[in-house]
Amino acid sequence: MKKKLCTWVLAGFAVLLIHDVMLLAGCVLIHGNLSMESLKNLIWDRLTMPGDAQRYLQIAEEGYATEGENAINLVFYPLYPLLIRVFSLGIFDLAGTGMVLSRLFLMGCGAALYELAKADGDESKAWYSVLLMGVYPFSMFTVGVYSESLFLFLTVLCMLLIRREKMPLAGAVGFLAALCRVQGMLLIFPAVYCVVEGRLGKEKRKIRKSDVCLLLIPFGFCVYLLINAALHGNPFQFMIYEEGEPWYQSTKWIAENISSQYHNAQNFKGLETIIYWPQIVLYFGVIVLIFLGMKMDVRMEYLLYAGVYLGFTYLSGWMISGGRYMLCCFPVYLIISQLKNEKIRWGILGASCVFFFLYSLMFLKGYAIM
Amino acid sequence: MADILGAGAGWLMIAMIAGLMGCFLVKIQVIKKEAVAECGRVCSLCGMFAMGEYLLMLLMNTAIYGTSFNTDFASVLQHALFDGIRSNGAPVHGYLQVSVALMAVSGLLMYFAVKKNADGKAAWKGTFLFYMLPGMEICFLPGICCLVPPVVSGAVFLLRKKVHAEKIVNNETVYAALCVLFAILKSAVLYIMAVGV
Repeated sequence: MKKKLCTWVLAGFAVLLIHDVMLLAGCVLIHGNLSMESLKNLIWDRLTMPGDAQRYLQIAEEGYATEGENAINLVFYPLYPLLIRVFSLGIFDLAGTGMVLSRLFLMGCGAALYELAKADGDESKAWYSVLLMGVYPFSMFTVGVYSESLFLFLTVLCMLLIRREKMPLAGAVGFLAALCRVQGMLLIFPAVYCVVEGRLGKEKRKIRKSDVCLLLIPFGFCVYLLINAALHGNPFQFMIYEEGEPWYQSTKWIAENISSQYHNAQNFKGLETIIYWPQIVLYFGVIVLIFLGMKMDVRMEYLLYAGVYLGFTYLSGWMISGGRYMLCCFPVYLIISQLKNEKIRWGILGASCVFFFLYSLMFLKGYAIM
Repeated sequence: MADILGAGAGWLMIAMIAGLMGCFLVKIQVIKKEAVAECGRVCSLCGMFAMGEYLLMLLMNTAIYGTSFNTDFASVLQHALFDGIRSNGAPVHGYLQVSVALMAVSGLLMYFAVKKNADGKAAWKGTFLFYMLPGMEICFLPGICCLVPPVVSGAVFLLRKKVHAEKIVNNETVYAALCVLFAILKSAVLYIMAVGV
């Protein structure tokens, strides 16, 4: 048990170290020096200010507003800002608390992913999965005031608990995941699959009372709807806000969205390499991996989660954060780690490292990576 | 190009859903893994063949009219049959992914129709010949036209015990001659559809 704990801590620190080294490198390349002042300014400017970060901090400080310009913050799910508020204990800086929490959850995710990957393969494949997650090109958001590391931690942990048949805990963790991001409720698909396959597959296992706990998962989303209803009288108020400024979101079939992405890549020069083409490449790349996973007999629950996650994410009609969203599609790291061709595996890791460095640097310099 | 990317993305998603359902049925021991794998191979190759034909039409149009490869296909189509797409501004990729899916299903039906009385190699040859039929491109048109290939292959599949489609592919000379003839006629049809008369 002691050895396991040490390995988990090591896996967690490994992921964190990757990002800390990147931050230091970024500081040197951007500011030309490695002073505490430069590092602090860089972290403050780029990990607590841009995009969603400020909105999470607003919710943590003031809660959801029912009117005014901050009312649209309702589109952000409550778990992450709630944790910031709770752990700030009323005395610590909210942004600092948010970053500390993100780093802790990132470490937890590294440990959980290691354990999940090791259950199917050897130790080297487990380490590979953790490293690949660490150098995913858009993983810089895991150390900022964003919900990515919390969501990733909860989803990986939920899958690990399902795998170990600890259903009540899996249901509770899945509930929290659904309270963190809308994609959290998609965990119900692999959860139900595991129960059905256990019953009808080779094992012919009886459905236990504890299996019912997995139905807790979508209730996280129901709680979010209740919050919408309590504040605005409409459980789907968040959808109205999402359709308006600044998100202009809609739900369209994938073909139309990918075509739009291509058009946007032609029309918005300067954004094609950091937003649109990565989103197109990621879509086709992940779907090819899912097919490969079917061929390689990767665990069905991983493929199922990856498939519904990919489909759900790319139904978004005006997507500009696809690279960040796909960071949390963790079965991708597991599938790639199981590829038989070692050259391809190391090639993917190498390419991911290069793009992680480039995109992290661009993000730290203020490019529109969101 | 946007049409192809969009249609490809949509069709891949449909194929992925079908593949996951197939894997699920294997896991709960309803069907065998080999059957799912075989269906997957046939559908993907048939779908790629269909997309290849569409790409060929786009290349022809680009070459003849000098249009950019990035231009939406629907905006440069000259043939009157595509007026329906151009006039109402409907996205071409919407029709295209349905067409590709129907072409894939048609290929699957034809494959198993021939395989009933022959082996896998003959089944592939029969499916290829079916795809080489001039006029299969009618599947790319909106409306009821796109149902012609699956209806034809469906009929052959249902009557597979009586039709004996494998007889055409068993005779090497006849098969080769038909392939050459269909290729020439098909090129003409593709040219007319891409460029107009």
